Amino acid sequence: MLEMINLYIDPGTGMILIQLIVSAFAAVALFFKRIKTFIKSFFNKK
Amino acid sequence: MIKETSSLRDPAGYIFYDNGIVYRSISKAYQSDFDFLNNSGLYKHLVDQNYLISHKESNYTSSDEYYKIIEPTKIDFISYPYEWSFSQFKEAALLTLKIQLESTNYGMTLKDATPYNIQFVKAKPLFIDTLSFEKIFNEDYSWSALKQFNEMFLGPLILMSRVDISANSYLKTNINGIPLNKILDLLKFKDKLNPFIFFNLMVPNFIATKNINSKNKPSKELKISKTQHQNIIMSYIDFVESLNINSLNTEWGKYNKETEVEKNDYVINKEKFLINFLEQLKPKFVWDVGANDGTYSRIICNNLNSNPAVFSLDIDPVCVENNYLINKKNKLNLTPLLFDIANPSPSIGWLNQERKNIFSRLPEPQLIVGLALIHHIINLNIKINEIIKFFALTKEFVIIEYIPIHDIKCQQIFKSRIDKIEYPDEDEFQKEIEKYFRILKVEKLNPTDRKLYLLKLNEI
Repeated sequence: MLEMINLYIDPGTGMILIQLIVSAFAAVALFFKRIKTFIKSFFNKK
Repeated sequence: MIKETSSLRDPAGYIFYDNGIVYRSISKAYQSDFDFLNNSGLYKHLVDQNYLISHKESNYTSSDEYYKIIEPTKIDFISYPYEWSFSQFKEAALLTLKIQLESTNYGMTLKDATPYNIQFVKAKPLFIDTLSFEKIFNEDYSWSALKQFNEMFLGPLILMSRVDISANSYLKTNINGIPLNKILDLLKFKDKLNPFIFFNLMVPNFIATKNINSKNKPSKELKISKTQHQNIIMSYIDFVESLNINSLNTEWGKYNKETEVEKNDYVINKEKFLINFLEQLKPKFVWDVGANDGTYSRIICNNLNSNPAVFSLDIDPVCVENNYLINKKNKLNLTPLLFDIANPSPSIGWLNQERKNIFSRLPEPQLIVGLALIHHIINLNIKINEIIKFFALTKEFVIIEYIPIHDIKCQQIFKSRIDKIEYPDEDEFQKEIEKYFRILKVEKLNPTDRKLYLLKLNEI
């Protein structure tokens, strides 16, 4: 029954909302990655 | 003119063949995007980096309505994602993401993200769908193919690395990708706690199932900026790059190392006679069936002057993976592929014509090689006459290894049913062979009682 209902949902539903959430996560992840790379390069220099 | 049935869902155009040449008809609906791809410099940029297939404009005229007809560079063989090893799949995913990232710098985006748009040419992935690029409108960088990427690339890759190395085979039954909820059902709890998986699979699945929409604001007002979109793609690239199969292993992956130690003289003899058999042959296409990690496929590549394309086929994902990784360094004209001889890739999709079975895609071979193979097929209760029928798919030659029932490996395989199994002795084996072939050479592989045969197909 659930499968049947899903056939009538527009696959684009919530797409923008999802991508806004995902991009917020990505920004945080990339921020930490940059800090990690910075710390690594700092120690490598020494 | 024969239209390619795989193009049936594409409104931008279709592939067709005439006189052995591949053409692509571009519809008028795709005209402005196609021109933008060229004029923006994106086409040249991607072709220069060997990311995208090149093409030339053609003078071919067709009675159908079209904008342009192009002639893409021909590819010998079209493989499908369920025939790839983990690294092949991963590289295909990364190439798609990199192309998406580059495209956005030129004001374009991929309208789809499917592994069927990627092919492997000399151990490197290549994007083959020139009509996948769309112009970005109103600075809205939301990516309509993100869900497809999750279900066709990301989900299968995560499952391959965390749950089941053969998870790409699920794409045979799910032509449009594995639905998010099914991917999540298969993942272990601790995998779901991974922040990337939580935000990129769990949250979107929750939103989709609860049918949450941005009701309060008209969706036109919500946009994804270029930076937001590129951040998403970069975080995807980082995550996909981090995926590996280190924790998974299979029975066959260890096999070659084991046999190398065990049967040193046998391996030396087999190599020697194989090279001797290859001397007079000039095949264009070779199938090496049960190729393991491709050790003998590479010998075949290196000892044939005809510079053939060798298809190195094996059922084991770790073997195909090792084969692919070794070949990335060697750069031989060798294609490692997942292939189950007892259950080869079927035809699937619309009218069973959208994705074709493997035998209608593999080029007809002038040589089929089957080393240390027949006892494994007999173990599946497939009789020797049927096995020989498979080898009769060759247009000219076969090199096959006969393994007697008293061989140590046969004893291991059949130990519980050695008396019940219908195993051919050498006379029966030869009798079946001679229904289709002439025996050109036979060599005993000392110190074992195995024998290597060189066969030529009878002319009808």
